[in-house]
Amino acid sequence: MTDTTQSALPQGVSPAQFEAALGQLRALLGPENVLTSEEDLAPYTKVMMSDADEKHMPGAAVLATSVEQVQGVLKICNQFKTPVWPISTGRNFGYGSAAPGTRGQIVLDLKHMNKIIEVDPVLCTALLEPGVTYQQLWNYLKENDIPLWLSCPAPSAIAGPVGNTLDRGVGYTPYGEHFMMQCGMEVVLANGEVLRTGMGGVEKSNTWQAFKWGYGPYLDGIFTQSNFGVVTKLGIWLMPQPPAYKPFCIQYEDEGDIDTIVEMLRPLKIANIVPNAAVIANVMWEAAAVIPRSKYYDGTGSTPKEVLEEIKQKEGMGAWNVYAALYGTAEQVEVNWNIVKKAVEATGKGKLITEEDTGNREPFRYRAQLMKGDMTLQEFGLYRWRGGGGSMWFAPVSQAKGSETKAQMELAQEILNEYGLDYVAEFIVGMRDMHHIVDVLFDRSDPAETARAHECFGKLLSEFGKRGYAVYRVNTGFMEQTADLYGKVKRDVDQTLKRALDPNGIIAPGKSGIFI
Amino acid sequence: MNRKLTHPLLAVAFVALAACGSSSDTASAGDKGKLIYLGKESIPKDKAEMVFQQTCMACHSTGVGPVILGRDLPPEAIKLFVRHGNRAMPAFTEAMIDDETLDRVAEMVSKSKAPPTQPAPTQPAQ
Repeated sequence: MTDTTQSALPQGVSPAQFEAALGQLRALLGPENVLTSEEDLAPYTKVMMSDADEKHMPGAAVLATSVEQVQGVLKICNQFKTPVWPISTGRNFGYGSAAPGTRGQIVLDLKHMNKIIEVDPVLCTALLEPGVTYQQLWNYLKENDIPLWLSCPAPSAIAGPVGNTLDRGVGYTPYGEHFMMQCGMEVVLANGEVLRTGMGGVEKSNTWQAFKWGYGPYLDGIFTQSNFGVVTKLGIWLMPQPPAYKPFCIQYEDEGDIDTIVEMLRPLKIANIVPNAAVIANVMWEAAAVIPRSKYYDGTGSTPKEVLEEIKQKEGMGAWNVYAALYGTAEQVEVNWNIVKKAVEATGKGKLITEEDTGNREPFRYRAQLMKGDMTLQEFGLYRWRGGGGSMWFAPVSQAKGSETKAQMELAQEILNEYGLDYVAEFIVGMRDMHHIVDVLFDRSDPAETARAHECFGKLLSEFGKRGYAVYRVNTGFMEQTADLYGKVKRDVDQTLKRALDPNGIIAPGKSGIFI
Repeated sequence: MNRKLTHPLLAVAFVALAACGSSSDTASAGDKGKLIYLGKESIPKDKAEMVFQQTCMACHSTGVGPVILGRDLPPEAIKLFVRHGNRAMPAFTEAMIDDETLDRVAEMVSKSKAPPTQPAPTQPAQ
């Protein structure tokens, strides 16, 4: 068993200083909760991005089980100026997983803080600790016959609502914009104080999970995608199970149809006819969920257009495949279904597919599961498309306008194809925007392809940036470049907040490009 | 340089899994089981059974990951895969699946029988 602490030290921290910190951490948490061996740290080092593993090698991992222990960890880290990288379930696949943003940081693993503190079936709220997984919460609701639905991202079963919400992730139900459905949080600050946001600071308050805004400046946002504190409790809203649920798919044949689709969908979304975070998946995303690329193409570069046409024909897929759903009473669903049908008919193209048409077949099945917050890992099939375990999400925000989504599609295709990579993409329909999600897939066991993917990702960021497009979230290898896109003033304000709240810069330095 | 898995047991296990189909040729196989979430009656009470059903089988019975049942995979190799991950397979920390539970899951997988042939669940919509 090799000890790695000598080779993975945080910048500016001496071996003696680091070892002294570990000694104090062992005294606080117990030696079994301070991991330093290569074997113990191995699961924390598995990343999917193009950065070298060494850049994100943790110096150690520590496991806390209570707020008091988190306070103690931060006190020790302040004393020895050793940085910590908090994780909840560490399942931010394609964004950095459980590994720290920079080498040598101590992973503060909160997986053991996994209490479902409260589910209120009347107000449809939950208060959770960071280690709770979607599967755990799903099981809890089923075991207790609570008719509430979750909204989860595609790696639902093993990811968790606290981490996903804090990274401003999305799901596929009407509650799909997760941070919008968050209400109240508890944060351990770097100085050890415990802040409860919203109504949580009011003595005897019972509205912490009922009213988001509280009084004065609304603070919850500054603890998302940031490094200003360690969130130890998070409130979320849950969706009551509707009496009727109707998932459906609309297939469009040409990739240029994205313009038509978005123009058709936007009014339905804004008017809440289609209330969920619907998706518009391209043929490669659709295919990747169910087949490997090698079924149709054995080459190494981008998948040729004629191969994509063959996949569409033989697998019965559209160039774009819209997945959306209707929720409510049977009467409401019927009314809205007629509106949707007319809207699709008005486009003069598009093939509507319902659950009755497709039965239990994939990928419709897993899409229908996701849009009602059920557990499925089917979308992990994406990682099998090219194989090799490399994945980085390129996620620029687009206006919900057809011309804009088309322009982004063409630009992404051009850059990816230049590097021999595939445009595996979907648009997730937001309130007024589209989350344009491109999975930059590559064979991470191939150094040349990994290097190409790295360069490609940087170019995607810069070329999109030149046109005023920026990502809403990014992997830990590209945080600096992304932060620059948002401008100097934004970076300065972030830094001002960081210096005020964490003057020693011990919490996740570098997260979202924020340092002291 | 990216770190490579160098443990000899992983190499053995990789060969064993490759022999039963690489991750790139398993999707069309028709002999996968399928998890169906019906309600609380489908939630295992036993911790190892829960991990097996709700985590392992969520990929390895749906065509997403290679078939692992009925392959006589060595428990030690299974545990190494779980802790290190492999290519697209994520790694699982001790905090996620404790050692005792992992021992039991590895034993279950190692001694498992091949699932009965079922209609392929991964045919796309027509």
